[in-house]
Amino acid sequence: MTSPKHQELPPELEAPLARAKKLEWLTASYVLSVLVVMYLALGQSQAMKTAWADDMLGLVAPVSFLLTTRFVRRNATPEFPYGYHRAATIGYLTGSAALLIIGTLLFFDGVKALASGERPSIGLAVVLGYPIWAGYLMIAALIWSTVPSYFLGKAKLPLAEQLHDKVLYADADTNRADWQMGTATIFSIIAIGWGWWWADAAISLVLSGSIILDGYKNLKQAVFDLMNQTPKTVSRQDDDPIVEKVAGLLCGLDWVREVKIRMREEGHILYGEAFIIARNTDNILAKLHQASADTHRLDWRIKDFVLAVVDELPE
Amino acid sequence: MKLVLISSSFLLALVGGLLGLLAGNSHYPKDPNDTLKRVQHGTLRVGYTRAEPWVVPGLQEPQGIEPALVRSLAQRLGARIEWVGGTEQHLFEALKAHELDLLIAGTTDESPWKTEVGLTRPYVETTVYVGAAPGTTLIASLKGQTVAVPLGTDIGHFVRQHDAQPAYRAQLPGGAPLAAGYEWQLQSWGYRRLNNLELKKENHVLAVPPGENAWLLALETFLYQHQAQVHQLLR
Repeated sequence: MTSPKHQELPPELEAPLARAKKLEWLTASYVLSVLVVMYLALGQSQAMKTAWADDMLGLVAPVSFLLTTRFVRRNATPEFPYGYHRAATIGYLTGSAALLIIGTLLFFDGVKALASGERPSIGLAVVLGYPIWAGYLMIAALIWSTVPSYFLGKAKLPLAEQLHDKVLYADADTNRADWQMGTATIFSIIAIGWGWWWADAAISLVLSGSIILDGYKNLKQAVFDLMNQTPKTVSRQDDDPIVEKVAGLLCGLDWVREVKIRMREEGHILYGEAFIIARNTDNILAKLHQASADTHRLDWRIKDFVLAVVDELPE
Repeated sequence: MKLVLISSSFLLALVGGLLGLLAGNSHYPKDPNDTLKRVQHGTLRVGYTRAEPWVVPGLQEPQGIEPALVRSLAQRLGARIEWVGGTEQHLFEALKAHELDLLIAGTTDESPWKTEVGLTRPYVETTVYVGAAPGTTLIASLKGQTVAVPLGTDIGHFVRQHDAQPAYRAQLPGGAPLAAGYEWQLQSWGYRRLNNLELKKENHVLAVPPGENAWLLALETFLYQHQAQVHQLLR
């Protein structure tokens, strides 16, 4: 049986990958600029602090994407015979755990601020010699943290689907969430200006709640991935139709009587086995060779699919 | 499509909100407890505690840099000042509970109360330098030197960080060849300021009740416009 190279990506996906890398570099530098701008405008607002922490987490996905795209396409070695694809899942696991922990800390911060009636003070800022209310400066910083985010997220979604990259998908999702978070934070600054000091802590609670939910959802998925859950679509909602496609192909072969398929995802790549009960075993090597080649041709993500002829299907 | 709709309505609300804010600028931001409205042509309750030269207790009223600033502020607001002396702890607690409108205590932005109350942005920055007595030779490093420092401050700590020995004095400079002091103190002693031997920076602020943002903004704007007066008072 052939031993396919792990680093191969179909030529038509090279361009989207390059574009995705460029977008992630752009995102990483953009998030850094947001962090600096927000830090300079950061005052006593609890919602502002929550938004800042969330922006910092926005670095996790681009950095893990850029790091893992370097590693995952390396060839398998005797030490790591299945290749490096799972590096992507590990990056995903740590990122989502960070999300969950920070969300929880911010939630308790918000509860404390609300319970003890902390009133955020926002005073004067001097911009180029002009004294203005610092709240306006914060709003400007927040607009910088939202509008570009929205467009970045929108540009990444189709690439994530094409490349079947979950880290990229999660990142696009984060960018979309940032847009809503930033807007909510702008409202909380406006509310502080109206004298509604409680609105700030309340909004920060809602925001930290959404970080917690995001973290939980992603952590769960990362754990499922590591536990070899059956392949899912990149948006993680449905079973990946590819399993059905492979089953259809193998069942349609005239020498196959029964077949059982097991597949798992490692990063972008699909691994798996098909156990086949053959009608007859004449010329079986050539038939298996042909079936294996056909299966691998179905989709670029099928890299290491093993066909085994057995007497009895496993449980 | 739905997302675009939601986002564009967000954006519209935002732009509308901002325009509304800019139009009604004079009443924005607001105080949850209406401090600014109350003190204008009313009574300004000012807590003070001894912190020379910022606050110097006087016979009837406190003197010094910060009381002088408060008096011009009160004049500007048409407010009568009610001076309340006390310990820093009690006064900050009262300020946090909105029982005072302003607190002057030579406070800096390092104050541990900074998260509990509202602090203005620094209205003046002062630096403690090492100065050399007239006629002494200039030095580049403090290593192994002895520097006269005031008792009851943390200046001695910063002197030790320069590998020098502090000599504690109740009265400065007391004829010491090297002494630590603020710029204006060195000037009045006739000591030469050693610019490369900066010991400590202090950013001076005033304290207001938490979250009274119109009042905070009015006070900060006043301080910003009176920077020249502050520097005059320091001399």
